[in-house]
Amino acid sequence: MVNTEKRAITKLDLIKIMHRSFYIQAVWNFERLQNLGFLFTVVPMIKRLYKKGPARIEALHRNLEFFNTHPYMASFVIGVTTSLEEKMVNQPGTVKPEDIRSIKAIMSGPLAAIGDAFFWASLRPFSALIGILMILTLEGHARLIGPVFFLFFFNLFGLYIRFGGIAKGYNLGTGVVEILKKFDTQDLITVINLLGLIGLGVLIILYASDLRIWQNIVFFGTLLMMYGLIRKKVNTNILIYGALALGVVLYYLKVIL
Amino acid sequence: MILTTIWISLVASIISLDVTACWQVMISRPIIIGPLIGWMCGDFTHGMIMGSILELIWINTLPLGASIPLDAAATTVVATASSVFLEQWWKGGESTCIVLGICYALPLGTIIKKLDIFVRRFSNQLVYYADKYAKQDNLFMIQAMVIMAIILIIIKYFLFYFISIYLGLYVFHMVVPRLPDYVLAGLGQAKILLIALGLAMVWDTFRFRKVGKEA
Repeated sequence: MVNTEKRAITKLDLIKIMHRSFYIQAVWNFERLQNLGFLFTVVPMIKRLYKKGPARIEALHRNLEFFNTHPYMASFVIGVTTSLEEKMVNQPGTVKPEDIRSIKAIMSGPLAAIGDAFFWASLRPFSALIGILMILTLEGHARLIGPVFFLFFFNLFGLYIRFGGIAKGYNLGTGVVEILKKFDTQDLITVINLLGLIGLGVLIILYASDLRIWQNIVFFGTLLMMYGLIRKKVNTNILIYGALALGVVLYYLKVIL
Repeated sequence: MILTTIWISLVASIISLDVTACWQVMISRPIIIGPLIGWMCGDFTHGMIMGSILELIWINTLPLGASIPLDAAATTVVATASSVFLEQWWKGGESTCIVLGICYALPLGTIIKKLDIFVRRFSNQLVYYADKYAKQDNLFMIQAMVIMAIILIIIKYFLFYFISIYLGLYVFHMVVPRLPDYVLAGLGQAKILLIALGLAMVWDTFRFRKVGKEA
């Protein structure tokens, strides 16, 4: 499904769009969410395709409509929209404005679900956990490796999707939907979660080995109790203050010294 | 002190754009911004410990959909800066300072949330203007609205950080000398329980879930 017809958008335009996509949530608002951010992102495309006039005004309004998805996965929608807008100008009649509207609506929901489950709920906690594990095991300035690893490892995936999504979406047009359908992150998430549990085990053992026996009992007791309370969806701030109050009481009773 | 606070607040507010507004390359996560603010205040290790503890506790804060996520960066910045400053004049031990910093910064989270709602309401207004400028075919002014939003967010964070960190110094000066010794020492020991809570959060994040429940 690769588009072979002549294209108006240059490579430089695409690079500009990629750069601007980092600001897609800048004017996040309650009414139309990422709409203005989306328009801001595709400004290089609008400048390339339209001259001042009624057609451009229409294009501006079209790209100001409600839009919301995961900020990384939005790259695919940005790419496809750019490709369709270009086609609409180059080959009048092949693409209608409603097509662009509907493809944006169809793609954003599932993309948000993938992005939230993979990037926010799985990859970022995992990268942070490994970073903290490094901080705990290393000494002195070598501990800097922990935060650096977190940034580097997480963004390796993040930036790949953000740049690659725009390029793929633009090159394949609506064909990218077929690719995204085959995109199965569930197995990857399961693997990451398993590795995360192993990392958590290592972190607990490393931390507990430095504690004295009574501290150990308090530590594991709190861990189990807090896990139970988290599952009951108790507010995190209450848990933090609760843990601190419990610590003071236990110290007063001379349980931990 | 006032110059350091201004400088820290400025750098922190620009990095805090990363929370939702710009980039989202995770430089605003506690594990990054904690050590950075600690280093700027003169105690890198202190910031590293603070960042690690808060990262564990908030490891699973999700910026989903239309809900306003918890601003982990805002709390981390205030907690780190105020506790490093506390340690510089009060020789009560690093652990106690860290816990006191968290105690102070935590309730302020509701204020930054309120400010966030205000900014997002104001963004509605910016979008109306953008509609108007779209009718006039004025691409320059539409983009100016985006810049306006970013400047507004920086101002929001700067005011919040400067006032919170500076106020924190006064609060600590008033409260800490009046607290009984067993409370202060107990809070220092409570760091263990805080880390246990953080690890329970990690456990909850990676626990086995029924496949197909999400995504």
